[in-house]
Amino acid sequence: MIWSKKDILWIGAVAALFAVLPLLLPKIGSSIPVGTEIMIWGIFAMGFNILLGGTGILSFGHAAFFGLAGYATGLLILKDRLPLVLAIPVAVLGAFLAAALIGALIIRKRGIYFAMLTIAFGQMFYFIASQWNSLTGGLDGLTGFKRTVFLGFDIKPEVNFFYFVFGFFLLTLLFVRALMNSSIGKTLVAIRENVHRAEFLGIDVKKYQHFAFVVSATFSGLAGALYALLLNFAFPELLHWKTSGDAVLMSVIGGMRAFFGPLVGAGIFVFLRDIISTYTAHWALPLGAIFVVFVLFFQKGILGIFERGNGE
Amino acid sequence: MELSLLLSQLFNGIATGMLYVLMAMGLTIIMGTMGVVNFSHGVLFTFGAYFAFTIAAKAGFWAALVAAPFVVGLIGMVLERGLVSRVYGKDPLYGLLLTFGLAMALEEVIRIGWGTTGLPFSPPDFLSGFIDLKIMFYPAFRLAVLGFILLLIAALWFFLERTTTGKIVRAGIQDSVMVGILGVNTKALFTGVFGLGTFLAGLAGVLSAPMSGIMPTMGDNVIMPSFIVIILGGIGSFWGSVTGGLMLGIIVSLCIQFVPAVAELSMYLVMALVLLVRPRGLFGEEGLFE
Repeated sequence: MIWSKKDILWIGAVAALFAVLPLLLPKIGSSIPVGTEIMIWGIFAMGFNILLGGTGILSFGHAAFFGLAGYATGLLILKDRLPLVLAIPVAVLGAFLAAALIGALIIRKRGIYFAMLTIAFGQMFYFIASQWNSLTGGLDGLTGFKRTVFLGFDIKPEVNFFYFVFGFFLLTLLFVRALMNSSIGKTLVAIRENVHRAEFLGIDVKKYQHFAFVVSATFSGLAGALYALLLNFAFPELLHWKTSGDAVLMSVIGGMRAFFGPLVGAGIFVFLRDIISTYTAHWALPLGAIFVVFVLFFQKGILGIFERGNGE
Repeated sequence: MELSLLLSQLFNGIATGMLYVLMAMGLTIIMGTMGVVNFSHGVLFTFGAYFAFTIAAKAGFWAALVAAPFVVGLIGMVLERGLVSRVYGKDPLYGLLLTFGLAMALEEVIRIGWGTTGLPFSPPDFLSGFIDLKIMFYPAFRLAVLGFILLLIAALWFFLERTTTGKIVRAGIQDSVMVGILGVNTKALFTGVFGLGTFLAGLAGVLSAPMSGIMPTMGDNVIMPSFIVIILGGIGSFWGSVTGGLMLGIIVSLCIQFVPAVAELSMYLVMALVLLVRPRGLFGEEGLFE
């Protein structure tokens, strides 16, 4: 089995919780799109964590793939009039190819050097998006496209779009769990724990790291495509390294060594931002401070607090 | 093609490049010694400019030029003692994450303290206006900045190469554990290095304020080029930072003039090219962070 009984139980429980969110959210003063946003950031962060928590590689450039697919989705709908069922896969494929190419160029670098390179390459995409006015709308962003129907399913209403994203969300949870359960996932963890030992065992470390980079970027792309559809808008900040930083922040706050950690982080991030921003426009100050506290004192994140005796 | 136009862009490039050099120097000695990528470097640069704005309003430009970088350096030392020093010896990832959170919070502090809109900042009277260089007229302040940073780089070089403290710093970049074993107080060394690095960031902020204006996000525009300078020059290398900074400044300025569409992009293209040809950077030492 690619999923254990426990996996199915947990994923089922989480899915059940999210499935009833459209009923719960309006009752607690929130709204359905908040739930949709949590799932989208959840897809981004869960995929991202294959690389960060799973393989032990920090990237600050995944917003590039997130934004690339977001813009691509908008442009494919707007300029090429592609139906959504084609636009989304093509956009995600774009993110996949970009990651394969950039990964090939930089995967040989280690640690902080690698992180700096991912920022730099990510910013390259940011500048292209913010300056290629005729194609992307420049700093004002890309508008004029609207989500319509997906294979006959009308995803214009907020509730319908929620369940549309829910489908992708569920698939992401199942896929990431299956990947980390597989021998490939085990190999990634082995590389994280001890690169040299993995090399001695004859594992082609760079190939696996490149694989993790590309797979995680593909999920960034999927999340970006869905996010552009949620907002009916794509803008340069989607590709900014600070957006990459948000994904890192979610993984760390939730707990990057726990399977659901990034999802918990995504939920907390979206909720906190929404709550704090109703009181003050300066939500980044408390959020940044919370992040600093986590990095210093709770390095295993929220889900890590509940783990016992499973020290690293 | 006018020669004066080319020359003035070349000068602009060198002036911007010099600012990148100051930023990259600070980043690279911190990175080399403590293994921490200081993400808050850009925000501290911005703090330099804002402190200068506040101090200059009360005590004039010169007081601001001297005091603002010191205040920033002091803040840097407090941050190092209180927060950054807690992640030494851990996975380098944590230093990066910590300073990322710091940068996020500190940028909001600037917005709260000084507002979100840009502020004007003019150079002192006798440095405003243009100087006749025979072949062209060039802004006096830019020229002064150019000369000032050149002197500063020379002073830094002297400090690192010719003084005992400087030698300790360089030894720390090579192997800080060994330096500690040899009896040097590494705790003080680390705080000092962080202070020096952030001082340079603050100074760069003050100097760029009259040239590009003051905004909460102004640090964003220099942190990326500074990262690229380090990638180009190689981590921990003095001459790498100088060469990389000048190269980047000149290339970007020339592109702004002649192919404006790719001006911002050009630095990333240069970076990609250098990575392909010489992955460890132009002056990078083998094995260091590779």
